[in-house]
Amino acid sequence: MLQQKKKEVITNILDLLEIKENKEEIEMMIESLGIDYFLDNAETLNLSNSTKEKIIDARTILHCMKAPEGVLQ
Amino acid sequence: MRDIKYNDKFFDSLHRLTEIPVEKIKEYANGNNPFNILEHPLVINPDENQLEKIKKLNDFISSYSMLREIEEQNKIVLNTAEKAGNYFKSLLGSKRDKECLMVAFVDNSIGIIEQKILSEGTVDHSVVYPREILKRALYTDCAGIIISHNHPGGSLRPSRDDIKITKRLVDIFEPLDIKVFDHIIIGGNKYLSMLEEGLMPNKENAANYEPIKIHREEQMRNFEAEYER
Repeated sequence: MLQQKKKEVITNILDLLEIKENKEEIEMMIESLGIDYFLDNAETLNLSNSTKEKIIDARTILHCMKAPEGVLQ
Repeated sequence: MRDIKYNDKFFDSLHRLTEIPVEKIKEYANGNNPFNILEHPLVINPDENQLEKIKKLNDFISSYSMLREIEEQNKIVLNTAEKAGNYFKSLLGSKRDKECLMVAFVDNSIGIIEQKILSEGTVDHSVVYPREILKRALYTDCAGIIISHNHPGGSLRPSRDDIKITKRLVDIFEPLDIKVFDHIIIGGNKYLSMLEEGLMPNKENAANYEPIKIHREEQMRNFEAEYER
């Protein structure tokens, strides 16, 4: 049940990030290594530059959300 | 009110994802929490397209949080050599062009808190800096570590250096109550667990990290006696 939910959420995340290339491979990576591993290694993935940029932007927003004081200038 | 400042990278990212002009975001963020833009988009009077993008970003953030929650419940636990071996095999088995050293920082139940490649070398060697491993171990507040590296040539036999570095890490980490559980060697699609093979070294010549008691009064008395003489 949880596994099914996990798959659905991963698919949803890939759709929201508009990832169309190597979808299956990326789904497997997130499933086995986690979403943070995927986001942290976006630069090394076989994706178009615009997709990588989108992932990195999303990662930046998440990092700032987690940082208690935001990102100091 | 707490003055929260965000850097340009954050503003640029938010702009690219929502198409709201950077100046508009900065103007709002001057005195306000910019995350209000996501929670209450009408504060910046967005157009339809921007509103759609904000909704998408919000959906992404909630999906991410949900997935992290599920991952937390399904934490990968490496409590046997077989599980650890298979885990590192999936990460390092395909690296045939260079040697990589990876460390899994684990909690008390040997659940992974974080895993990281801490050294990447050439086809036949890599350089390991215990200081870098220690920095990460303290940062993650882990109970122990499992180290792994690959032999691009495919051999599973631990080299003398493999045994030496394992011993050195045991000597550094165990006095700090950070257990070095295993050292997994990956050769192609096979693994060798030094723990399983009885090759994990015992702690010897370890540095002493016991708390040091400082007897200030005694020190002062000695100092005064010395001074009077």
